[in-house]
Amino acid sequence: MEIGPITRALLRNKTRFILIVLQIAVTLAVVTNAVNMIVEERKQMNKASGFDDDNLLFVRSRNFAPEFDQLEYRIASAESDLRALRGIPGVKAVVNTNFLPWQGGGSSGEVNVIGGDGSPYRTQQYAATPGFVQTLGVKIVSGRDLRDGDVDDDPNSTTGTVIISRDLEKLLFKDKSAVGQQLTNGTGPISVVGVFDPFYNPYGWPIHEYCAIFAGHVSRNGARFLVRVEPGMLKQVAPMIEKRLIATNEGRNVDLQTIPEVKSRYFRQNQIVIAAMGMVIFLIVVVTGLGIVGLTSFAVTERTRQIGTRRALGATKPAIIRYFLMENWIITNSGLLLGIALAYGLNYLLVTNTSGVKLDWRYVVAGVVLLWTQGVVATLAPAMRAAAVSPVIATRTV
Amino acid sequence: MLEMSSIRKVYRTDLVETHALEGLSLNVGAGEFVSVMGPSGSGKTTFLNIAGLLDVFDGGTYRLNGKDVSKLSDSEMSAIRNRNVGFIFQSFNLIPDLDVFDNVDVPLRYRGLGASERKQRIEKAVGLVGLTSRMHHLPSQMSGGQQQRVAIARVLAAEPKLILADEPTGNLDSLMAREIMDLLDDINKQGTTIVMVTHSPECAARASREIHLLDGKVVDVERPPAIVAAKG
Amino acid sequence: MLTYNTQIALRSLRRHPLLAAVIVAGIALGIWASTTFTTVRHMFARDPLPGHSQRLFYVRMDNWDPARPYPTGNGGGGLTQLAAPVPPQITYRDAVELMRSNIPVRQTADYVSSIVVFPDRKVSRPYTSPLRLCFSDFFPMFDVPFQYGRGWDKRADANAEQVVVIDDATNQKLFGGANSVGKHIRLADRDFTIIGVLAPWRPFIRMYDMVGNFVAEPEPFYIPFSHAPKMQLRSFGNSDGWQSVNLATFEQFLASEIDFVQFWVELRTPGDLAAYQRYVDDYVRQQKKSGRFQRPLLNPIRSMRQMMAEYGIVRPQLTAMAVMSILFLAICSMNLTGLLLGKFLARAPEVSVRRALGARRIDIFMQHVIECELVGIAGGVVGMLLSIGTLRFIGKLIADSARFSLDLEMIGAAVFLSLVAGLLAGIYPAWRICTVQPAVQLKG
Repeated sequence: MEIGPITRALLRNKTRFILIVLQIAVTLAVVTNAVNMIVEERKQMNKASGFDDDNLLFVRSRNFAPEFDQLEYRIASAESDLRALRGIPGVKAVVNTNFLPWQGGGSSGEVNVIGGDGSPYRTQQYAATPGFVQTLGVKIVSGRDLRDGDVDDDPNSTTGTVIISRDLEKLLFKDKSAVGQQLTNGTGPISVVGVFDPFYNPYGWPIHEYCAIFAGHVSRNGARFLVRVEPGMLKQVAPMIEKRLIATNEGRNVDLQTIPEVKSRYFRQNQIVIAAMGMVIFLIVVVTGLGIVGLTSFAVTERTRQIGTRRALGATKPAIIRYFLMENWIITNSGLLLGIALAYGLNYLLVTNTSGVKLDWRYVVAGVVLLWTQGVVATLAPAMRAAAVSPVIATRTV
Repeated sequence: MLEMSSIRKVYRTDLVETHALEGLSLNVGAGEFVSVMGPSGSGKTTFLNIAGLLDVFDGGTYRLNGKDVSKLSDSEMSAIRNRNVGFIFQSFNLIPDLDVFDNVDVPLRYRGLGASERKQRIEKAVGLVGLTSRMHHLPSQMSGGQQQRVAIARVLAAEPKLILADEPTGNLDSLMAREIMDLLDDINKQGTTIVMVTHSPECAARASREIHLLDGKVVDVERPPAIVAAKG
Repeated sequence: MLTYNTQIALRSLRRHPLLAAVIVAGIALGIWASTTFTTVRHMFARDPLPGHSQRLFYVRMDNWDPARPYPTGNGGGGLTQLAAPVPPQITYRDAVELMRSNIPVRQTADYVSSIVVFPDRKVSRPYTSPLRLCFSDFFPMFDVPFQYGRGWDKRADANAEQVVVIDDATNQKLFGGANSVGKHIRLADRDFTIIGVLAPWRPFIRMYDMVGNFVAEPEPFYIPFSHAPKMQLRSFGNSDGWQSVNLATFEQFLASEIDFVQFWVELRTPGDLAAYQRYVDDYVRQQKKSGRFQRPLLNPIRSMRQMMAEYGIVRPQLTAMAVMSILFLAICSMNLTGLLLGKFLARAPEVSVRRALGARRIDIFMQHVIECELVGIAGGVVGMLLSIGTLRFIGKLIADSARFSLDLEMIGAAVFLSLVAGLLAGIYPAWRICTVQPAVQLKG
């Protein structure tokens, strides 16, 4: 169409041109980087633990009766708590453990392979009674699960029995099997009897997939349990737990959280960033769109006489609409060119100063398409108003 | 070329009905140079709008070049305006942000001509009105007479069969007015039909025939011999 | 003249209420977004103890594994890549030793434990509560506010007196909010005397304990540090260790290389800081002789603000969002310029009449600038109100009802932003309208 004359006319009327070009450029820069941030946050939220998170509960006993100072009393109490919990209808499996997923931390230590090269590796490590595997909903993939006979509660003991995660097996033993091997963490040998999979628990250090579970009770500072319920039964089972446990032993308080709650709290900040950036994207596109509508409307009003003249000279209504759409397309493309440069520039600033992530070129393409669409939609109404201008205006004296 | 019969045009607002044209009938033959005169309110502008298919009418028939215009669609009317009818406006109506070249170019673009043919026509037309040296000037950089000449070049480049001129010299001093009328004379001699609405008796005299309007109707058609003699 | 111009401006806005509303909404949106996001960032980034924090320093020592340094970056106790590669806390025995120095004008070692509270049975069942063990200087160092009584003194520290400071919520729950100083409360197996009750205190950033959740509530109970051995109070906060040791007895725990104690000093002058650094370095060199501290000497003593940077209190996303919101405000401003341009130029005939009647260019300019400022202020007020509501909402979501609020600094910033946005947006249109030639308009 008339790209040449339209462009020349635009350049002679710089204000409107510059205003829209700048707005579109900044909009593209912000929208692409906002999408970038949202995708990064989503990536962090999408890692699955591999556990039956939706049906898990964390139960904690806070002891105050003096009997709890004795180790034997505590262990016996933990065992009777396990029995009481298993007896609640709807409960599928229970384990006494200090593992609590989706905290961003926990307990860790360094181990090395006995008979290996002696390099230590850091891994998450927790204690648990047999039942860890069934409660979390993972599987033993080689060797066997922990048994009652493995449980060692002697605080002076220097040995232990563990099952480890598959990724830890790969880290420690490369292609060989871990079953039957021995590890050490500075004291006596620790025997690996089985390997489980999957396991993912985000941790402060990069050891999210490495886990060693020692056979033992967890009772000092109060027993802790993970409870797995039948699918969808969280709401029914939760209120029964406190009652049942207090009935079993009154010398303590019980509190619990569902794992979905824990997970939601862990991701709260990600969710807020996603919501905030989503809102910014929406508002920016709307505001820039309305701005284009306003400026184009104003241009149509200003140029009413010119439009009438064009019609008198033979322009059809569709030709007038095409004129304004073409004009907007030229302005939009100028804005997008500048915007692509600004988008990468802003991204560079964010990456170097706030540890963001580099911009994926596909977001830029998506942003360009979005703003093309916005430009057309925003220009249509004023363009149609322009097309309705009667050619009679040309003969009207000022 | 132009046959109007009992044309009626009524403007309605909330309060008032204005009968702008009340049974207007006239004929203009091909190659004629006709002037249309009348006091304000007599319907001159309305007549021109209808003649140039800028506006519709409420009664009567109008045949342009033998074709009945009442059945034409908007795009067909636009096509006729583009190819067959040329307008010269009192207030020039040049597009302020475009230079001379691009202004003359406007109707040619709507015709869909190729770039080299458009360039040819534009250069020829601008040359005919004597403004080749100002090809890339803006309207704001030119006098009223020059702007009107550009408007005429715009018409010439399109090579229409009929030119409708609305007070072409209304905003010009007498020297420039004479220049414009000389141009129109030349164009008419080449065979283009010209219908010119004007206030000025001097300009009207340059036409071969005068039509007078009053209250939306043609009142008399005559050729004043005395002023014919003053031509030339 | 100013009032006259303001009158004209107001009248013009009233004549086109819909357009005025759209213009105000445009600015309000921009101010709302930029104020909200910059305030959120500001709440994390600002000085938690203005006027005081530059004298507070956090002490760390590198007693870690000689084979490799303490891992930082990507977590490791919340530390960012900026952090020194040393454990974020120190051992019990080192803390006790360091307290002997008389270089700092104030100092405290502290850690978090958990304790069973046995209130009057009529009031409440026994319950478990977090508890902080600290020294007497803790309270003045961190500007902790009291409503009744005060903290304990150095003698109470030395003698492990059974005194406790409780917070306002506990005081409400157990004593109905009355002045409970002097009353007794049983913690674990012994009676403590309440010596002070805190005023309601919820600093936005727990500047005294940045390890872990630094927007959580402060602990409800505070007792002297010296109770640790007798009451066998284990750490319930973060702890780090690189050796696998037998920690069966509490004595073994206290004597171990487990890092679970935080150590803060208050130093008056840079000379004091240098002297204290020498003191700590000398202590570590001496400890090396008995086989401890096998890593190269590294005992970073950093100011509170430096520690905030090392802990990455301001998450990078916060800065990014603040930047984007300012760009959004810029877009709203540009939008505004376009709208104002249209509005002003449409009014050219009226302006020409005024000019013909003797108004100077500067009068026309001022009249329009005032109109822009009025709109800017209206938009700023609406935007700020929206922002306050949004901040309250965010507070509930993010930080367990931490108080996000607009302090004076942010309100000032918002006012400034709205005036500037209004001015910048309107300057060009105002200039355009005042330079229109009257004759052109009046002819028609």
